[in-house]
Amino acid sequence: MHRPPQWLLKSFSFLLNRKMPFRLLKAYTRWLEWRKPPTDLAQFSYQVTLRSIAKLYGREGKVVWASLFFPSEFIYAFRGLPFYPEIAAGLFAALGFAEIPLHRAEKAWFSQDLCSYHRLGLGASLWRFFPRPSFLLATTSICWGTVSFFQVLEEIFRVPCYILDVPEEYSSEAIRYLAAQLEDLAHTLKEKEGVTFQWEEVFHHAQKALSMVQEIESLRKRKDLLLLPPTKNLDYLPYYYQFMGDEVAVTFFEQLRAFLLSSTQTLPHRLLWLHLKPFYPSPLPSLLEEYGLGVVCEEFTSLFPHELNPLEPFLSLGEKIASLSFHFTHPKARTKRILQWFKEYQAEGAIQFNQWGCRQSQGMNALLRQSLRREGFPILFLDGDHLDRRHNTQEQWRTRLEAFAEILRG
Amino acid sequence: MYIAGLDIGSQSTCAVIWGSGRIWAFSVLPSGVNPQKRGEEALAEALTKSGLTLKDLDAIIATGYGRYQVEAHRQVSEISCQAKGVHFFFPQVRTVIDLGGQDSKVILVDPRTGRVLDFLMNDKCAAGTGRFLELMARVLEIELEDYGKLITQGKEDLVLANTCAVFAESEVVGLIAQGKERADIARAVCKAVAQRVVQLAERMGLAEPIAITGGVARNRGVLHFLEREIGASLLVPEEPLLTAALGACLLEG
Ligand code: SF4
Repeated sequence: MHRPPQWLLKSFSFLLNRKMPFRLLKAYTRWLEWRKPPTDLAQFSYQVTLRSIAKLYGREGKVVWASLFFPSEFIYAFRGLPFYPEIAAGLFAALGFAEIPLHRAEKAWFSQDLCSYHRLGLGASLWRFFPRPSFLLATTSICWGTVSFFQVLEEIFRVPCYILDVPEEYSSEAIRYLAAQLEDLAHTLKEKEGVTFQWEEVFHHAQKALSMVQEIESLRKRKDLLLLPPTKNLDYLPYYYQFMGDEVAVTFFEQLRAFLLSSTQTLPHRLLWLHLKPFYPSPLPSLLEEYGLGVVCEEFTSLFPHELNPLEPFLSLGEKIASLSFHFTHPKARTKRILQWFKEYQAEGAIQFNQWGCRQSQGMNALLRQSLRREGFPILFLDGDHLDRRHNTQEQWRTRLEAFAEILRG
Repeated sequence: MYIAGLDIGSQSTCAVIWGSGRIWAFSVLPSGVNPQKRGEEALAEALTKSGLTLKDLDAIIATGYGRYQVEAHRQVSEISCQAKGVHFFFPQVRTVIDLGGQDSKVILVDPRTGRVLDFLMNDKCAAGTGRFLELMARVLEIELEDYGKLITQGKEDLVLANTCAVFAESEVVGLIAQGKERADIARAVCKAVAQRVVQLAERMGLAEPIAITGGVARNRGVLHFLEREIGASLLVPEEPLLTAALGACLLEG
């Protein structure tokens, strides 16, 4: 991509930091909702994205940045506006703008070896492309890089950063430890930010969305239904993380269920998709389709059934963080969960798209491969980068996917 | 029934004519810049050698990186073809190391069927491929065939610290400037390639017997160090460049 001139980027950044354009955008989104009530997923997501942009950049409340495993329900409970820079980084890449913030971060001495979710997030922050945060919330999971990422963000924006220490185990003790930290955090925020917490409505929405997710998961276990194009569900990541606790997630999952039920086409092979995927426009989904490789379950959209009790909000959210973190980061727990999916979804194989610089997921590759092979399940590791095109060899995906499909065919 | 297998690799293009359980003819040409044209030429040459014409063929199966650029009845990945082709020559083989011009692959094969069980590819970097040997040969001003001869003459055990082709090139230039013997540097180059390949192979878990294919299989220097690093002797097909094209035929027939 040809990099735009500095003056243009500076003007863009200037505009992003003014409220006026987003008031206009808000008026436009209202008009759009009235004129074109969304009838399909694409239109619905488009309108949700515009509305979120208008809210976040128009600063209609406290903008709170959070790391992926920090529960958005906590933020909605005090009427904050959650913003997940790691998810926004994916959106930037999907729009084809990744190179600009990546280059900015590298210019500021962030190595190309740093995970591009963080590198892109830092570059976009240095450019002031993201909505300015009131404060930052993070957990020490999913990876230690997240902690450093948020610590640097704290320096860039000079706003408070609160980090939850997530234990490595999943036990009632660990849940209580997290609950105590969340409660402390709520007190601090009440004092320092003057916020108050209301849990009922938020938990009601989140619980409803979660049961919809479970319903969708059950439908995806059926062999006559398939979400296409393969890996598309990962584009809906914001609904699984950023919008949990907002009514919008419930409406989205209702639409997704209807879309799934209306699917008429299936593919010969049923696969699990581990880790995330390249978010920039790429031939990957069409290659998967060409070789008959359908994706029936994605690791990052498989949430855990957990009870959200408004009378015990901190314990409920403590449990959510503990279970998510444990099942993603503990090698044995992760492998066990994946093997269980193989059975539940009648999957034949798995693909993991390794992220350049991600020690967290790749450290487990040998163990994962060994365990899957023992059970007779093939796994394909594709190496590349989810956001930074420079670290990919797209031409080679074809050969690997083709050979993998040939293995599945037997 | 006659089948043609066409393997369009980055360095060489190979055509095999197969029928009634035997290879009728084959041809190997350098790939050049026009894989489609070169594929047609290789096929024409093999057909001429076999005394057959295009009309006699029941199917053409293409493999290799240029497989979608030629007209064929079916395309199959070079990984499956390589496994099947090697299985024909050595039915007992359980691992194939394929060292091509641009990439290296390690393939685990089911000895009962010749099917692929698992595979691993390295293609992001020239180290561990034929390209690396070519680049270094150019710096050393030797021919590719000279590696085998030179490694027997080398005395000093030099080590190339960099397996990255670009850095290794300057390292080799540095060694030449230090007055190191060409034979010793050639040895170090072969050893570096072998070590890189073994790293890849060990990730996969090598199961013996092991066969080696691809252009680099002809390089006695690399072969020597590979066998030493792995601690086992490697089976080399008589024509290590035609296994993928042959495998393409076998998968169809
Ligand atoms: S991709 Fe890996 S390194 Fe990057 S944020 Fe996720 S877990 Fe951390």
